[in-house]
Amino acid sequence: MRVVIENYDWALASGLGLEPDTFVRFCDRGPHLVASTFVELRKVCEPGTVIAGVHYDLNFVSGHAGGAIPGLYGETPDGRWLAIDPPENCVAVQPAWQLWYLTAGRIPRVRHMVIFDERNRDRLQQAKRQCLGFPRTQLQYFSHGWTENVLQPLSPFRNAESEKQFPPQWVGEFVLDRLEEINLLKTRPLQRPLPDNF
Amino acid sequence: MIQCFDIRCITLAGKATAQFVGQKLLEAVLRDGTVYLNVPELAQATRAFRRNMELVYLFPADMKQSLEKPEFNFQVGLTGSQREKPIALGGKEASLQQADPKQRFFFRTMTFHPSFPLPISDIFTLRKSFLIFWSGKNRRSIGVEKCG
Repeated sequence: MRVVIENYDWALASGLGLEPDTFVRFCDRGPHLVASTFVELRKVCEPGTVIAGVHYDLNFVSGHAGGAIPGLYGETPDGRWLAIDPPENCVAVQPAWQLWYLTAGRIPRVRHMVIFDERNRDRLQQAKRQCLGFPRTQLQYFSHGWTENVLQPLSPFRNAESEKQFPPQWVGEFVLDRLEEINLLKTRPLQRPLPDNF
Repeated sequence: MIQCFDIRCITLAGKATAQFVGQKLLEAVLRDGTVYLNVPELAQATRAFRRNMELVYLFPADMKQSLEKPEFNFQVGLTGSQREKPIALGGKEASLQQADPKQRFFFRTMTFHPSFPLPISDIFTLRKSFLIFWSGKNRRSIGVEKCG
């Protein structure tokens, strides 16, 4: 999965006219995360039930492996919601918060959610009849910028406005801020200010 | 419809192809946010090759060049992993003449192989220490494709 995301980073940087390894270098040594999410759909009875609410990922780029039971939806930059059903052998890749920040919003961060999809109803009924579980699992990969990197718009995206909207900060501090916002941080380590030359 | 990209066209792309694919990828990301990357077994093979072996790329040359030099109807580039161990950074201008004789023989064998391009697995069995990739003018056929 890491190779997939790195290739995405590589190509996207090329497309933006940056040095192709710009994003790969930014994420080098980052605390990337592979996480498998699981939900037992038999406990979620109604189509439309929200399993994971609408959110942005706080990392750099997210990859969702294909072959999962339907339910993941992603928002397009113009506000449409698309079902994200990557086929087998495919990975759905979405830019996340850090990439959005690094490009001063040029690359969108993709809001997404997981709901109990209407398309699962028949399969759920079948599972119930057979007294079987109906789990939805999905393998995900979250690439991160290196904690010690400074998160700020890259020079092609930097101007007076973006400097105000996207102030520089350590990637590590940025992640802690986001975790704190959603009450997932019990104890905040000491905040580390940027050096004076920033 | 979410656009699907074949990772081969990114993993093994040279500079020109990477820019072409990168622009298509950027368009798709700006439009839909999400893209699919198709990951055939080649990605895994490529990773192994990147760790251990030298990569050899064959690129169909420009039509003009092919006509002028029919015996070299492929541009040849040598590189290690383009990211980690570049041998010929900045393009694939290394020529047949610069390649060592064993490689040159190999290139000639491959370029005139009647069934070229071969399935990648066949190429592995032909010469395990090299990976052959063809792109250039054909990049559209292995590049952006729609699915779903």
